[in-house]
Amino acid sequence: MLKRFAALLLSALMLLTFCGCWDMSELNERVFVLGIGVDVSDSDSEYIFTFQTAQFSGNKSYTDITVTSDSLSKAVRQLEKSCGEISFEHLSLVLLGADAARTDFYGTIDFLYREGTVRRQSQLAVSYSSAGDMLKKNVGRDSISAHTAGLLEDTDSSRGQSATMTLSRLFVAKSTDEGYYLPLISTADASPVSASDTSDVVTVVGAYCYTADGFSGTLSEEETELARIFSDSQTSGIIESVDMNGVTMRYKIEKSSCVKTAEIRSGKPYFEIKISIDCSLTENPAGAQTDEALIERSMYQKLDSLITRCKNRLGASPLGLDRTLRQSHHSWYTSNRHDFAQEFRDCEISLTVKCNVRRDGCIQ
Amino acid sequence: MNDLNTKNKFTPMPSMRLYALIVMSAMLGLSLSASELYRTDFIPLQVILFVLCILSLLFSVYAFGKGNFRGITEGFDRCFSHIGSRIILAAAALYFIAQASLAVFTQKEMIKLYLLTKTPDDIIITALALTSAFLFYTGLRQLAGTAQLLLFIIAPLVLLLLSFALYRSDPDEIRILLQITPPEDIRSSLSATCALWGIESVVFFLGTGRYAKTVRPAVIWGFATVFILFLVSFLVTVGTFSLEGSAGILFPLSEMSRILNVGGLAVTERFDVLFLFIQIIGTVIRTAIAMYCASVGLSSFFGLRSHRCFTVLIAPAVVLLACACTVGSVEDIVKLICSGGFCIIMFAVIPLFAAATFIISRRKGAKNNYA
Repeated sequence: MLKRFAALLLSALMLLTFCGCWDMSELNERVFVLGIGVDVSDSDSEYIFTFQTAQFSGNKSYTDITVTSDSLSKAVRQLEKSCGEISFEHLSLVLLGADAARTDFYGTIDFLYREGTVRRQSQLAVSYSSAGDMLKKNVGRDSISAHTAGLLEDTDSSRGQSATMTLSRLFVAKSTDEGYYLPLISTADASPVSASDTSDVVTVVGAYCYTADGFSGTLSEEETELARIFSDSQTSGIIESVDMNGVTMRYKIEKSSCVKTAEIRSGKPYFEIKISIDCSLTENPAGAQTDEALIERSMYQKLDSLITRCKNRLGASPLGLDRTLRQSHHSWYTSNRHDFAQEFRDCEISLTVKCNVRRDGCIQ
Repeated sequence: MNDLNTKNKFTPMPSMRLYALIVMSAMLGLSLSASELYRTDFIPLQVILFVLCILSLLFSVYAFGKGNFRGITEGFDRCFSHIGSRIILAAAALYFIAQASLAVFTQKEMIKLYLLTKTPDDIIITALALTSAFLFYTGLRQLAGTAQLLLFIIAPLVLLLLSFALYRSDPDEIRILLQITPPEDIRSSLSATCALWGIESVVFFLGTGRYAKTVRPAVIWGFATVFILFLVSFLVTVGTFSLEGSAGILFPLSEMSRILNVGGLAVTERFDVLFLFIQIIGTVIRTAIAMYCASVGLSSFFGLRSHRCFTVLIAPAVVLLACACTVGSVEDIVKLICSGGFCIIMFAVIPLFAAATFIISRRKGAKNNYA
């Protein structure tokens, strides 16, 4: 009898934890945040946070709420007081305004990583215009957060270095004192350039680069595409080369691979990068001759100029060389991580580019 | 088997149940929170610990077989004298109470962070501790049965989770572990034993040497399972978050289960719910086993034949200590007791017990030969 009573009592106790009586909240009292926009306010000491939340009635599936505060945690508390319980389980995008992206924004959004219920796969991006304005853009029934996250996730390779940045990856980059870069996005009407990675409404038009010390510069749209060759399997870029007669030919990258090795020579890092690209002709002007050597030379020049820019200003993150060095020479990297920017500036990089052009369905 | 010592006829526990008990006592090697594990000197340290621990456990199996002891109380009585045995078992009881409290406290932290953010700490701790108390009150045989059943349920889930995680891991991050550096601080290395905490309770399940043939494979396979699962879970967290990243996360395995996104399918992001289910079940069984070991120690100390009467004492003690872990540095003290206790039991008590058994049996053999 005592056993049964104890079993009953314990079952009841366990049920309390399973259904979460203390944590119970009605669906209509919850606010599901889909996207967060972060902008710097005019006073500079505060941020303007735009919360894009799910809406279950009306023409649009979302609504935007703006809160001004000096930290995200305070803004969330303010939102909770006025709207109800905030849920970040469906957060798909954290969008930084161009000004906010140039500040030490990690301290501002750090709150998102400390909260257990925040979705870790949320994408991070920089907005070409104000983040709040971007989130408020009307793109049909779906929110711009969903559109952008969808676009970025499509270009994501789920392991290792990637062209996209999630909350989880940002945390790892900060833990290891590595640099990183965030995609710069724009809507078709706001962007002065057309992009190769396009969706109907949102386009990637460049990237913001960061070293361990903070913001280091921006990549153009073409450079962002080129940087992807250093990171994951690039399948969407376009290569241009000019033949002997001055005719411009365009090739689509079908597949690319990048092998990076790092060594420490006389206490200095040395990198060797071997890139192999399989591409196919997309535009063949009359009389033009396809020549791998030309494409390789053209590609080499572009990649080399990106490497030079990275060494001089942007840091190692667009090339992923800080990660390569940390992984291959961990103890050297951990002891020199604070001087890595200078070490990278002085290092030697060897680049090899190999191109294969596909003709009539086969690679020659 | 120890609770069967009081009965006239000894019935051996099936190997599978013993295996389930051993595996669940260390929570399948899926350590909840151990930021101190993530160091480059960790793998060689773990291999050394693994070898030492398996030797220690095999010594205990050997000792039970050689001495033909029917339980740990009888074995310790013969080897360490009556008073010595009581003192050791009482100290072990306190150690197991600390271990149960730490397991409950850590699980509470995890539940609080990911699942029930507003539920009071005391309620979660009480629910976990009382469920474990109820499990151990029913006896070791029933506890082993429950452990076996739950192991069958969660084993495929664990394998699924770790397989997906392995697929997602970055092998270059894992390769960092091959760049071994010498340990910086041996004291912090001791806390790295936490992955194996609980496995030493196996000495409380060993009953008699007559069944050494079935016990030995259960011990070896159980230990190997825990070690392999622990190693894989360690590697996948390093492969996902890097060494530095993993060290900065409170619950690396849970975090990893939250970002599993295989093949771009958003549905697989919900692995955290699965993982919490595994962890809660694991914690309940682990705590119940620790409580059982504590009750055996206390009943031996007070000279009682039944351990069940200690349920009313141990369960509140576990609840109180787990609640106290939220205050000041109590958690650190409890961790220190656990790491110190584990090392003392594994590397001092069990080898001494095995050596004493060997000497006693040799003396007996010599006497018999003389006679």
